[in-house]
Amino acid sequence: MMAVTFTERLRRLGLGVLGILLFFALWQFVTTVQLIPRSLVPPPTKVLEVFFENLLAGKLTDPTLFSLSNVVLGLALAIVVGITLGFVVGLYLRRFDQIVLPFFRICEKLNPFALFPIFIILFGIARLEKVMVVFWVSLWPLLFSTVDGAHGLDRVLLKSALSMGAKRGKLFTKVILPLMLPPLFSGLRLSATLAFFMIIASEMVGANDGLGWLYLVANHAYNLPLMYGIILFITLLAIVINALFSFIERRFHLWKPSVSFD
Amino acid sequence: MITTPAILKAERSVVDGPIERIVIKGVSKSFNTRQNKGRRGAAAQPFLAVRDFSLEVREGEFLSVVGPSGCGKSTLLDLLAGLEAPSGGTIYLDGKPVAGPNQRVGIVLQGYALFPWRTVRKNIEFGLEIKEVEKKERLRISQHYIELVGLGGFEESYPHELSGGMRQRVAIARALAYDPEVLLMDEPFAAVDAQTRETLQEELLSIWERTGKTVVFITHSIDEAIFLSDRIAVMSSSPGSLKSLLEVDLPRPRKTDRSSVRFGQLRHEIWELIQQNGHGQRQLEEQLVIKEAEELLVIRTPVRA
Ligand SMILES: Nc1ncnc2c1ncn2[C@@H]1O[C@H](COP(=O)(O)OP(=O)(O)OP(=O)(O)O)[C@@H](O)[C@H]1O
Ligand SMILES: [Mg+2]
Repeated sequence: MMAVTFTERLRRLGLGVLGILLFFALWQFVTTVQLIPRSLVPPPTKVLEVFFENLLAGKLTDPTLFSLSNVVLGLALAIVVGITLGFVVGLYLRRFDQIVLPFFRICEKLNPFALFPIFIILFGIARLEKVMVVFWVSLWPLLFSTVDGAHGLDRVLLKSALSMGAKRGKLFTKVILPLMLPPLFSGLRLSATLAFFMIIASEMVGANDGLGWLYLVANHAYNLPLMYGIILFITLLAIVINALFSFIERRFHLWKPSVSFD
Repeated sequence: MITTPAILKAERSVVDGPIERIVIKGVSKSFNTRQNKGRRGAAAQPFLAVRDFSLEVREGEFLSVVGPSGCGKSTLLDLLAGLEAPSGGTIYLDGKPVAGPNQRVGIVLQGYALFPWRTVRKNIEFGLEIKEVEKKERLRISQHYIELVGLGGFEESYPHELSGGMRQRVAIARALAYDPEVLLMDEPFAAVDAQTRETLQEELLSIWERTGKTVVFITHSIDEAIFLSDRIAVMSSSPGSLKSLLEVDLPRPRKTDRSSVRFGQLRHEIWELIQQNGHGQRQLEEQLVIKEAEELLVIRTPVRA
């Protein structure tokens, strides 16, 4: 990554905002002159109006909190289980990883959408099931990035630490963990994005709360402006989540991973 | 810092004769290498990196190891540091078999092996942190070694912000900082310019003289080996073994000796020894090695499995 100057960043931001504004302007134009019938696509002014009406009436508060809290809970569980399991498999079970890893790879490849009905049978449609869905989809990126990170640990650095007397706990906290932070963060970021994606999807399959459920309710009521509003809102949330992780990642990466060719 | 005064040591050696700090007894090391012919067909191929190596390193001595690339010098150092276990034979440190890494033995690994997420100071303090030296004392020691290797002003820099030679100096300071009695150095001056190299050589000698540390020093430079060492071990390759052990009978300090007649003779002698490890002989030896390694593996299988 190259260092970007402040003015350059400002310029990029400006251009990005311009693109979005142009999109909304085009949308407004197309719907005003009825190139697309309003019954199919309402104009953005209408979308925003209905959306903020609902927002101010507090109709979005609970569903948003429900969805986000499930993401947080499921992700937290996946972090604990995925990273622990990843360390155990990657560091200590190297002899068995040819048995364990292919199995995990298959689990990862199972289509989560196809699993929704099974999760509903197992856990119902309330919070528990949503947390489990998030847990399941975010477990694998975390697990695999931990295993890959553990397998790719710089042997020379480990040697160096060992020679200076580092053992078990200190070796882990002072060397292995810092070495693992970059892969852990990339796994976490992927998991978080995936988790938010999946929670909405699963709420649209069977739920009684959450943004996905609210979207479905709007759909059944044929409230098109609210549907579009929720889509925009979900996108905004996804962007915020991604930006949050970028920020954390930058904060923790004071050093750049060194490129070595040996 | 606890140091053994040089005079005390000299007296002791008069009484007892030279004291052996490290005894390497019939050590060999083979690696299981996997040929890259696809996973399935690739049987583990034993590769004998060091064969029947015996050498005694005296207390407080400066011993250099020279030899062609790939002859097993770094492997030997790993064995001495307890970072690898020998496949055969034993290494004794002060009479006790080496069973693993030991803070009394410090090693400057080939390449820099610095922790990229730690600043220069934090890298140098690593061994002290492990030793649980308190913060203030750590700071004092690290500052001392930072200045010693001429890195004042770079305390808070990260390794990726330093030049190759500077990184190498950090690695040296880091090994010195936790004050090991035995210092193993694997081509520590390889990446520095000639001038810095000479300064560091002299610095190292003065540290060695002051502290009485035992030093095992790997280098590709014959001149460097002669300038620094009490004795020079010449290794031959395929498999790595001790070819010859030379006493450097030049008086110290040797600052002005580099162009003396005796220096030239030693240089020539060592050069010849290394050259003898030529190609005609090598192929024959390699076949022998494979046979021996196979035998070794049959005997050693339970250890590895
Ligand atoms: N972990 C390992 N696995 C397999 N083979 C190894 C391993 N380490 C070293 N070897 C082999 O052992 C031999 C000796 O390696 P070593 O690094 O000790 O050589 P060296 O004398 O230090 O060389 P150089 O002067 O280039 O640093 C080489 O042929 C190398 O390929
Ligand atoms: Mg080497």
